[in-house]
Amino acid sequence: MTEFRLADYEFKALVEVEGQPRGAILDFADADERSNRYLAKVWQKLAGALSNHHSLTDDDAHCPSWTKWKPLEWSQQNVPARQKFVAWYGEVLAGFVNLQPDFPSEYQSGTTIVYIEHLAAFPGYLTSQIWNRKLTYLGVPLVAFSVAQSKHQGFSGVVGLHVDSAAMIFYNRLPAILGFPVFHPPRYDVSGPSPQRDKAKTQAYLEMIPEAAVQILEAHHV
Amino acid sequence: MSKTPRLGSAPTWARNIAGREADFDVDCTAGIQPDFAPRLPVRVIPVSHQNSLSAATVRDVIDRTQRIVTYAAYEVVNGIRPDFADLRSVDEPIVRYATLQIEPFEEGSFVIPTVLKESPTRILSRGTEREFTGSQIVQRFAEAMCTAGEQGANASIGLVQSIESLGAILRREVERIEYFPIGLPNMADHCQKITVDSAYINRVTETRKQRQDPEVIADHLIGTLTAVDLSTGKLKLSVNGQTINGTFSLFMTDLLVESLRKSIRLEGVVEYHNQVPRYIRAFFAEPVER
Repeated sequence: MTEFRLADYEFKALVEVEGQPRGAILDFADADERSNRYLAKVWQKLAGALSNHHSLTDDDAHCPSWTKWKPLEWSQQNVPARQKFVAWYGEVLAGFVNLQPDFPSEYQSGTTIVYIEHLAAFPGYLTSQIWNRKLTYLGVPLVAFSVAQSKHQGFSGVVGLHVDSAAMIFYNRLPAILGFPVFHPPRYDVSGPSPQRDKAKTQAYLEMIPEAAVQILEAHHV
Repeated sequence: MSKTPRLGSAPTWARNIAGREADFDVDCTAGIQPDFAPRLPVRVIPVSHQNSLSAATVRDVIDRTQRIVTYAAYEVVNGIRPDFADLRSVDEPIVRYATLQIEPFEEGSFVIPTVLKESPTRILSRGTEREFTGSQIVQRFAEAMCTAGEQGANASIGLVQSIESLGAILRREVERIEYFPIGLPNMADHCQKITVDSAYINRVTETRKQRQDPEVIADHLIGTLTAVDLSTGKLKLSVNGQTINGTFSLFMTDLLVESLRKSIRLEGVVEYHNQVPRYIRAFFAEPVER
């Protein structure tokens, strides 16, 4: 059996270059002072700008909920089990995932998986009323990287996560994007890990099918 | 150091969506927003949108906001006493509980990002040590500010006068002050942004002048709580077989729900007709052991 090496995998978003789709290769790294500075000085200010736009136009109802997120606080918070990874595209902080290993599987009794606590694409790479974005489909490499981390840490590649109704649209479309079933049917009333725990019950819980984890890794192998 | 973005061939999955890219690419953001410390950002809008304010004005906004918040904390702990107006008599634990902290300012704005403690505080309240949270203060602050200009407003006179004192700032360099209580459950939409301008202050002043009514006095009633409507903040109390309607402050919600169909002592402003209680605006509640 060959050893699993993260270096053998490449995680790409989509970018259009001269009318042709190309792969935008993301460089994943641990969150650090540099990424925290970027979160404070660029990420949160973009989110704030979009929030202000909706406020000034009396359109708060359509303001995306992620503009209220405080990713810098999450990065600086001392949650012992939280593993914090960021994805760079050149000098742009293209996304981040916060993972928690050893989360009990809802579908395979007695086994544990990696829980995706937060997953987010750079505000500038999300659709908004005030800017056009450059990279698209960042959700795919962010999920794929989480799967690779799950495999790397001995959890078979399976991940679980809670999603709200807005994000569910993306995760419902993921099978069509990847070309195979990805998640078990959503479950409700499932607690998350600390610190959210029961607060997570307000959202649907998705857990990856083990075969999908294998296929995702195959699709991202260099 | 400048790092060039790396490009490669299109990912293998891209062919599954070829020609339909726009149909599938939506927000992937996933996660649970954690609880944060209760926040009360204060936005100061200078007259004619000037880009500077005197230090004294900023100091006064903070000082007067802190006074209102301390009164609100006092009322959360001790209930609303309409004639209370002496902050010097507030116990030190309540003063500490009500202390506003200020987070780093954003560039290019007059938003004062005030925040209260996230962790609950235990304070002696009428002989019993109880746990209080910063959210209760923000809730009480918002409720008092939103209703201060309405008939029958429930607040101590000191709190009302502190709100009125914001008027002095408005007469100088400031057009209006906006408060944004953040992260509160059960908060009415119109309380999510509280705008203090001259018209608001005039309404508060008028309401204060109308507070004195010989048929309306600070009092208490003991009876059985027969109904609580959380959506409207109304209650019914049965006293000696007579049903008395009333209202309550939202920070009392948990205790009232627990006390439903039980004996309770309500303090507040009671309206009498021919010396018979008809209506209560309850500011404080405590269970009565029978």
